[in-house]
Amino acid sequence: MTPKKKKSRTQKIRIAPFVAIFIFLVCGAIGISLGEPSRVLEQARQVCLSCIGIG
Amino acid sequence: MDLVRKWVQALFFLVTNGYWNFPLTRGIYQGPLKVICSPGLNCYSCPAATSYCPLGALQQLLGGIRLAIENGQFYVGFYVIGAMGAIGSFVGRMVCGWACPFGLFQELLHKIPSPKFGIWRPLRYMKYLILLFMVILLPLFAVDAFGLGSPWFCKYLCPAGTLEAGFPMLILQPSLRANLGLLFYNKVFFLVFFLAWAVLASRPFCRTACPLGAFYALFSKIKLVKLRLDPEKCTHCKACHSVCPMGVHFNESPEDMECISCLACSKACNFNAITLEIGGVAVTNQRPCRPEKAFPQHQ
Amino acid sequence: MRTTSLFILVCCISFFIASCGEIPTVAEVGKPAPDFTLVDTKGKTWTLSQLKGQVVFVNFWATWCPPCREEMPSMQRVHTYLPKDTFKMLSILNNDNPALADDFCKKLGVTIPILNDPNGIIGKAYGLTGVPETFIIDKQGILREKFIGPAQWDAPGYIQMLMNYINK
Repeated sequence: MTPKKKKSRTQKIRIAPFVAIFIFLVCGAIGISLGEPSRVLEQARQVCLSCIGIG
Repeated sequence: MDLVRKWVQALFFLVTNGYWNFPLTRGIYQGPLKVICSPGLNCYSCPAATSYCPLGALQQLLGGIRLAIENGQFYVGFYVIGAMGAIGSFVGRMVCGWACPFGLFQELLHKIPSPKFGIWRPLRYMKYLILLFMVILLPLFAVDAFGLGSPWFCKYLCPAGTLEAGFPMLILQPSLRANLGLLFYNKVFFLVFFLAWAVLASRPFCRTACPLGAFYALFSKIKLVKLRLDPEKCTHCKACHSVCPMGVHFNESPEDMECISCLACSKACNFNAITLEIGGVAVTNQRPCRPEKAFPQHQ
Repeated sequence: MRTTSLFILVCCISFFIASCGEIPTVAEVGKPAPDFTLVDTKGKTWTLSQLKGQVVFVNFWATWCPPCREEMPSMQRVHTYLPKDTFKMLSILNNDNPALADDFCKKLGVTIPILNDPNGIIGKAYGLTGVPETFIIDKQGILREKFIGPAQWDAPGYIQMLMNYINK
């Protein structure tokens, strides 16, 4: 078993990822409030011919 | 662990390509699930695709940004970037190793017996240029007379699109064949090039060209789930070097932007120096340390 | 390994079953074209069945689609060139914003009626694969031609094809 002191050092919880996730969720929420999902859906529902190299 | 990873890869492949009605409808899935972001590189023009490709959607939104804003609609890509960023800060490039169908395909190709080669390391920076230019700047600024941009990465490069959408749609809709031209042959060239390279080298597209991997790589330091090196246990035996599918020297750069958290190095390490951690808390099972096994034979 | 394959097989089957919902009945070449009633951006209502006796050119498009944009000027030339009393060109905006389309057509100088199909219902009835997609309906209301992808519509071959249906 690892000694207690060492364990507390290695098991320190990092805050940065939670901050980053939160920021991007807020970013996504802004997008939703602007109505972007419907736009994304409109485009995703159709074959994008120029995307697949045709036309 | 590798078996678990294969399961997860297969599952993600099926979940992101779960619409199997296409031989009957001869078209693509058009349901509401397409509002969900696919974590890996999975073309949303693939007949079976159930979710949208973040790169495709982002390029489309950036290309149409002027027309939208002129008409009072601020479709600038917050929704897509938010989804990509949330995935990135959560698992980063773990997506490449666990959830990307095109990554899985390259891994399978690499199992074909052949002479195997490494990849010249500076080529890795190419994908950041592709992200910057083909996904962001060119769709945004290379506009036609009507102020509309094109999805440059999809149009000129993306091999996943050619494989998953180009060929299937040509089979399902023969009338599309009338429109084949240089654009398509160019894309077929890139597809063949990367697939052939994938037989000879491990994951060449991920390592040199994938803009989605490049985006997730930006989160290598802050992502929630990542691999950790215990410098006290590491003996610099370099066992982790040869097993890494991405050419990372883990003991030298544990926060490498190329790491896809596939855990191959963790398995290869005989000193338990590499563990998976979530937000700073180690989660992989601690096997007994087995230094006696470290040197006699390699696997 | 056996359990893995079994697991994957079960997944495949369940997905397959899940996807086997309804098989939509879609437009077929040689059969009567699905009827529609749609309102254009000027407020005018168009009903396909009331256009019998005219050849109808129906083009599905969206503003975000580069190939659609590329074929628009050639469509406009055909629209102005062919006789108005026996030929109707309609463009159906599929799943898109009519305000964007109106703005776009002003810039392009396009005067073809733009019919709004906000939920893609007519597009579904015509079995749309992607945009652009074009359908030619003859004077009897029979669907005669289907084109997926863009074309230069003022090329002699296409004009000839349209004239054949008009003169029939």
